[in-house]
Amino acid sequence: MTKELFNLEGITRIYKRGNEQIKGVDGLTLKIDKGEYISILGPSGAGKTTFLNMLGCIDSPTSGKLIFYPDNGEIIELTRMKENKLDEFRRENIGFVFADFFLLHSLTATENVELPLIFSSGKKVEDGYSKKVLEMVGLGHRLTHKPLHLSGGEMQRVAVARSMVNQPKVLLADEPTANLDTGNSEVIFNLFGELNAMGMTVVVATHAEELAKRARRIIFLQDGKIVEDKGGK
Amino acid sequence: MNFFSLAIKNLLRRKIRTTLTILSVAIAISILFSLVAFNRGYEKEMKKELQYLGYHILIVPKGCPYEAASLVLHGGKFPRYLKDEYVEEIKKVEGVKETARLFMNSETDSLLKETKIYFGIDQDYLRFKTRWEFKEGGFFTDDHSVVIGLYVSETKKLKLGDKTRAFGEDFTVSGILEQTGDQDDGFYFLPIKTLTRVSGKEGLLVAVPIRVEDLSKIEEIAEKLRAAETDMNVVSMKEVTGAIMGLVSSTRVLIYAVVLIAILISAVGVLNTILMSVFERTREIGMMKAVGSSRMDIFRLIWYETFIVCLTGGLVGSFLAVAGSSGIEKFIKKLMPYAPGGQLISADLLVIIVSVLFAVIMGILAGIYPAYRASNLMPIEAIRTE
Repeated sequence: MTKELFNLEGITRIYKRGNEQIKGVDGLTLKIDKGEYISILGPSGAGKTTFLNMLGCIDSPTSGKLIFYPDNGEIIELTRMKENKLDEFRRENIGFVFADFFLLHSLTATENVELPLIFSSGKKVEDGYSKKVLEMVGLGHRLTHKPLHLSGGEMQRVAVARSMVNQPKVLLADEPTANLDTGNSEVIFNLFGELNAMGMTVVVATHAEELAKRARRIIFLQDGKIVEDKGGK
Repeated sequence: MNFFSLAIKNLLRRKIRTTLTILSVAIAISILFSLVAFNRGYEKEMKKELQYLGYHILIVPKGCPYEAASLVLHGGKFPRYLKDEYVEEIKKVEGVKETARLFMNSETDSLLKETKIYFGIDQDYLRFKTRWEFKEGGFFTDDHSVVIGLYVSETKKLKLGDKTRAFGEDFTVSGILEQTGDQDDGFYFLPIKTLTRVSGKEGLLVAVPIRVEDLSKIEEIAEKLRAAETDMNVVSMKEVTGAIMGLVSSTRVLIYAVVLIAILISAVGVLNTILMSVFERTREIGMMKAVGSSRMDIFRLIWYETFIVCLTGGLVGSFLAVAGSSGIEKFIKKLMPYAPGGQLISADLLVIIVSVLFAVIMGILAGIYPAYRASNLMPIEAIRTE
């Protein structure tokens, strides 16, 4: 079984703003192995979010190839996949955590975590699985609380639990501590560490350099290009 | 949690907006319900009433008999009359079994703003009213007797032997009819000779009902009567039924046009509300796509929300229409020049099913566009939206 999970070959994403063309990422070429813990660092506008969006297939590159290697030995070129197949791919393989949490305020913590499971062909999990995941992120006492009654850190932990409930292979977190204080940021990064220790590939885009150092591999981006890849092969 | 409960929770996030949208659907559906139920009830009662009239041919003065009847019901006078002697001529026509004399007049109390309808009849008329039963008393005892319908007795608190005044003379109640379920409940019946005298129309009639020996020869006899006298308008019951039903069906077109407009307005309202909610939830939809929902999932979710709004509106609207049917019926009856007795709003199961089904179809159609818009949002665009 190959160790590789993703292979990016010359991934470029150009956005148009009026007549202006902006390169979100510019010719990214790198490999990501299964079980890696990667931090993406760089100033605002460096292309961190675009990079994560490409990996998570919620945006598609203007040019380049993105290849995914599932456990069954297949080689899947994500850049050639149709939208409905990409939905399926995300559901099966990707867990997203956003800076803004994106929790539904009308739902309880448990219901927010259950959300990915209700979508068509969502993974069949045992009853009470969402509760177990919430307990795992330390929110066993907040199961029936709605987001408005949770702290920022707790909301982000609910969002992490939601990203885990489909048992994805990769966790992509975009500035997950941007709206959190130091203590809560610590808790979230500890959680990423634990998930990575359990075998999940974790890729985190962050400005928090100290926390980013917990990752075994740190990629520095600037102007959409990789300027340094510490710990990469 | 499933799609359905998620859709309900989404709707409950904006309670006031959802309630108002449901209310708009409910109003449209209650209009639909009331009008369809009324249309059915009106047709049914009209047919029943025509059957109960008990005659096969009616002779009225030349002119429009429907307009004349409506005029009297609203306190006017008949513009033309038949001569009493025609009755003897009519009796001579072969095939005519029974005839009677009818006169009609009304008196309006301008202070109380009410119109009393008086029917002048003779003993012969009882043969046409086989369904009549007297609750108390009986037919006229003298030329100043009055027989009243049950509704008159109840609303005017008139008992047997009480006196009531008409055209400046006193009349004694000689009989109170059992409920007939038609217009007779609201009439005063006077001896025809007295009514024509007090109306200053002695020797005149407003109608002569006829029963024939052989029902298959109604048209043939009507033709003979038409040939006999030129200022008589001979109307067979088939024609009356046809004319009234023709009026009913032209009203039906108008009714359905009103309903259609109400439903269209409501459907656009629903579409607008759901579309607005889709725009407001763009980022949320982006998140759902990011966590693995497919286009179909988003379509289904938004479509369910529309469906729930319309179904609830349909049920609430039907309930409101049933609950308010007697009030609506009274209101419509007041507006109509002539309304048959009995229950005009016939709210049977079929009407309920049709109304709710309409609401559901409206939901299905109104939900398509917002659901399509939402399902086509690109996750990255949706997440980036401010």
